[in-house]
Amino acid sequence: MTPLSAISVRAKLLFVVLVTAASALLISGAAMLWYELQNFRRAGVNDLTAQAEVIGLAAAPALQFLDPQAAKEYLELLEAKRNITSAAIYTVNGSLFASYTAEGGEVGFPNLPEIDGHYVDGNELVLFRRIVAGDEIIGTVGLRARYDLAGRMLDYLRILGGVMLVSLAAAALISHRLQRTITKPISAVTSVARRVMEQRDFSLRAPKSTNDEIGLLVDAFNGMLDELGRRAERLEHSVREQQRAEEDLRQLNAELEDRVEARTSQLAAANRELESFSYSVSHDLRAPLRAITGFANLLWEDHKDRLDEEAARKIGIIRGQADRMGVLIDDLLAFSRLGRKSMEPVALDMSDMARACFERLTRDGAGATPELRIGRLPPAEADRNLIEQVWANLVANAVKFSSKIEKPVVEIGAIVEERENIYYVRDNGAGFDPRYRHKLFGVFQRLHDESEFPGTGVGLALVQRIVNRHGGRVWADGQPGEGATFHFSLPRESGND
Amino acid sequence: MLNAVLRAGLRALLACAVLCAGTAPAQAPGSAPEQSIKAAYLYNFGAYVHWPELALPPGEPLTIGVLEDELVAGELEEITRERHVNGRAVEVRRLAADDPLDGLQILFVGGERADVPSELAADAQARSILVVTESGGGLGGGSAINFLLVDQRVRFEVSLDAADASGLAISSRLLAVAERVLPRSVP
Repeated sequence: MTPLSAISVRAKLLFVVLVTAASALLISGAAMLWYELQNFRRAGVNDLTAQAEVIGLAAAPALQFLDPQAAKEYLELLEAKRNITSAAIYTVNGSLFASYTAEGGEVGFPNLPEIDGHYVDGNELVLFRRIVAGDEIIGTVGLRARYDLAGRMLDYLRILGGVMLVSLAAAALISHRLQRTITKPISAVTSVARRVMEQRDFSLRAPKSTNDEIGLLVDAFNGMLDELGRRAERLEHSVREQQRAEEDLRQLNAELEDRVEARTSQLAAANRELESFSYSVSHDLRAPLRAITGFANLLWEDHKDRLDEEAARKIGIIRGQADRMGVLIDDLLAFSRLGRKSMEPVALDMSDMARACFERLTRDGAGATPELRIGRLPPAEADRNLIEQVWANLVANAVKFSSKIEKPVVEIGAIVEERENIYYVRDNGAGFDPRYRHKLFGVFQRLHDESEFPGTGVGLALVQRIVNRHGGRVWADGQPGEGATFHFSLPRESGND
Repeated sequence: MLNAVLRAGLRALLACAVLCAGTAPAQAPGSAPEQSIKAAYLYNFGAYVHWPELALPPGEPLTIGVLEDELVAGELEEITRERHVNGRAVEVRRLAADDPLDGLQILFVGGERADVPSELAADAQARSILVVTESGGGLGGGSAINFLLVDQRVRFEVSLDAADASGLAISSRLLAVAERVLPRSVP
């Protein structure tokens, strides 16, 4: 960036005018100076030549008739010509015939003439000219005159400088007045532009005072302001709309969250009520059941001799069903108790636990003991009683559903993944129809008939509940007649409730 | 052009070889240097005297007669060879005492005689001839110009009356360098 680009248009215009004027003046001044100097020289030479001619003409008889005194008298007439400092006349054979030196003139003439012509010697002009009479050269006249070229030039430059100063001042004044017609509309536009930038007020308009390029600029500027104003309005409008939409969305979200929270707490309350209800129901059912069992037993022990076979069988059914109901109530109590029981996570050796569980369940089981295939299981950090319950339920299921085939196999293994350990129990028993997979883990949901495989339908629901409480998942794969695999996962990081 | 100038300069130098002697003081009256200066003066007079047209018709050469002075005549012949006065050729004629003056414009009467013979003077006056003498007695007897010896230098005096009588006009420039000009007698 040149410093010129930072100054105002006014100053630039003034600068341009002054530089132009100064250049024009300098060029014309230089031309005139050159012309003047040429002229000065020519005039000096012409003047001196004329003088030499006159002297030559006058002094011709003196030369011809050998009268140096007369020649000297002619030369002394040059006293009237102040610029001539010295003069001399030579005879045709080159000897000094007569000479003259003005007052103050110091440099005389040599004893010999020089060839015709003129030259500048210091600040003097020297001229030699032949004296001709008829068609013959009869002598030479020499003149030496002041030739103050430097003084002349100095005078001229002084005048030129003065003229330039006055001209530039006049140019500055005139340009100052005239450029208002240009700069006034520009500064009007500029001030409006500045106000627009400062106040963001697009309703401002620049006044149009000329029909030239600046007028066009003003029109274009105003047109742009129109467009800007329109766009700003549109933008503001759309921004407002967007803000409103965002506000609506936020409100909706808040409402939804409130509703979810309300529903969740309602659900939790309902759940709690349900749990306490089922707990109290199970608990309260126990007393009449104990009475039924107790009296059935008394009836059997006190009167079995008088009972015929049919009565004995029916009492047996009553006792069996009462027992079964007792088991059901126990399971229900266990299940509902699970929600209130606090967990105590400890390090567990899952391999030991699974194997011990299998052995306990098959120790006095009827039928064939299934083959156990167990791999190395990763340890877990969980509540001992609850996880024992999980193993017990899953292994019992596997033993139960594989009990009716010839070579039952129960396989227990694990898959170690990045975030969790997945344990599974597989059997080659009855399997299930995958269409009803979602029912497997529901309370009292059973896929097999009670007479075929006895059970309460609480076991798997209990498993799911325990695993979920530990932060894991449960799922199952299987096909009818091809066995089933039950998986449960536990997170690897301990402490996850 | 330059050649012409050089040639003219060279010629002038040769001519001045004669003249320059004149700047030196003459040795004795009638001596060779003195007579040669007088011869040069005679030649130069031609340019400053105006003759009536009858006496010097256009195209005619300027004729200088020298009466009984072989030194001047010889010198003059030497000087004027191939030179011109106002565009005219210059002729030199040696004259004896009784020779006719036909066609002369300048007549030099040499010798220290006191006066020009009156018949000769009258004849010359009638023919508008410029009579030049070298008389120690000064102007007189029809002589218009008389040579003098001043401080060993050849000067001359002029009689305007004599010139007027012959119908001759003598340039004031010549008069300016004359030693003496006899003023016109009041008519």
